[in-house]
Amino acid sequence: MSIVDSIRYYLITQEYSWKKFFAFRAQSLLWLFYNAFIGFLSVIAITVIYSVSSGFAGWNYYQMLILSSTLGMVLSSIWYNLNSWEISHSMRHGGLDSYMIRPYGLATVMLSMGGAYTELGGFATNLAIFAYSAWILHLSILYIIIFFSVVAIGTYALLMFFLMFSVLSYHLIKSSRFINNLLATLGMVGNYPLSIFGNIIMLLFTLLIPIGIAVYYPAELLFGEINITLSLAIIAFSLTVAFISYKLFYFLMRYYTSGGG
Amino acid sequence: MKFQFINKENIDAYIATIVIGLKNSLAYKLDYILALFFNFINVLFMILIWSAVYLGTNVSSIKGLSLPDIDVYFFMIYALRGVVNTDLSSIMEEDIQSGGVATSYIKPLRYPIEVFMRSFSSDLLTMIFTTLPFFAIAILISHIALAFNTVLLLLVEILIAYILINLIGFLLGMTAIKLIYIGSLTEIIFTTMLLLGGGIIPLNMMPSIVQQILYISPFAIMLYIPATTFLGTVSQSVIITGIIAGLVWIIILTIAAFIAWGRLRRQITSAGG
Repeated sequence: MSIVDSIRYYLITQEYSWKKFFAFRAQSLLWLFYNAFIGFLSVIAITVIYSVSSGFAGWNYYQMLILSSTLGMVLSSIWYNLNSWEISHSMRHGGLDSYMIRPYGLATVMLSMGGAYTELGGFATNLAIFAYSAWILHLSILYIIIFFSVVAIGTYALLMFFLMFSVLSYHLIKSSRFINNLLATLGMVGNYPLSIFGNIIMLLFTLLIPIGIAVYYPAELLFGEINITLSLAIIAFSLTVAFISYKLFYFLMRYYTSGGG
Repeated sequence: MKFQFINKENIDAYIATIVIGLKNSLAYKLDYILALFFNFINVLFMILIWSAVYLGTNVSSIKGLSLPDIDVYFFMIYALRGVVNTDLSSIMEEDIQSGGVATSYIKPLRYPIEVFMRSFSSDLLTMIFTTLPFFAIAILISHIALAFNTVLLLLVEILIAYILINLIGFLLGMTAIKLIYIGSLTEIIFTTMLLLGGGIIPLNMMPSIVQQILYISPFAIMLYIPATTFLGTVSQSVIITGIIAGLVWIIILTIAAFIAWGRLRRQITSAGG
């Protein structure tokens, strides 16, 4: 199957899922509102922190908003596409089997199974916060385009990483609920510069759970804190993470046995 | 629904409901252990974030809270989150969606009490797996020798918080009779509670006018006031205001729950089976 077919399949499932989602309009709108509201929580926290203190060394208020809103957009994109709980649930009960006979790549099929569509609300809020902060900081359009390109590569790597991790956790503990816990923890940690946590934790969130490649390092690049060589190294590392995760995902799926029928 | 007095047989049945709920919940021990682990990690990160704020600002105290106070504060907040993390509305939603409410109705038990008992069993486990460990850590790192009066005050505040969150949960759960799916509404209310209750930022760091409003809201008594009562950093007037406001909210919400249940229970339809 070509990549065009995979994209077409993804878009068809999106259309179907959105129609299903709006079957309960009140609920759908409430979820969209909730996610939009959640996007403001980190703004409130950062605003209060900067109103009672000098905040984080080397980061001004609007830079923090850029960092935090980028994290919001990255996590919204992941939640939108990946429902770890649904994946492990369908593996445990055998529901995945009917998806596997579809003539598309397994990664495409599993990413099309239905994530949290309400995350669009969170994405929109964070995009608005980002745009406002970028405008205040007078960031150039070129820098913003480069920034979003690096963020997009990092987000793709992170998505592949969590897809692989969902399958791995099914193999290990037959559940992937803890991935939701992990993403919630990342939602807190990634709001702040990784440098404040010290070298070990910084390395942990760069190499082991690579949230840094999608949020922190691109932000450092945007503010001119890292040079072009390091930026290219981060892009190369992101692509390596995506490739290894993709290969590992298929390797793990070879050993998948249906848990039900 | 026919009015049913609570007699001894019923009490036994309600206790049996709790026991069954405990057994069901314990089938997912790993979830509790993972939740405890991630909560612990989250507190540690919260402490590191605030350490960076204190070091970056180069002060020993912000709004009357020192860095060690902040550490204890967040351990207490996570302990209290275990108390105000009720499943009541989710259980009621599930009952309405699955049609389980129909089978609950034919039992010789009052549904509001029966559903509370089911919720209480999972609350109890959350308290054991979350509240107690975090409370123990808070005591350990704070080196605070709790006076009898403080313990009593804390228990009163926690009891008010637990009653309040269950009343809110029950009112929310009743909206499922009309809306069927209320997961989003529940999340909005609980996240609001976390923000306005001081679960993300201590309330004394908010603007003065916001603080005054929040102290009379039902949220401050759930997290901020018990946490700062433990720390001893809150004034008596704030504690008294919080307790009185909490009691007034209990009365208001109880009346609202009675009225709403009286009207809505006749409209319950089984949506599944």
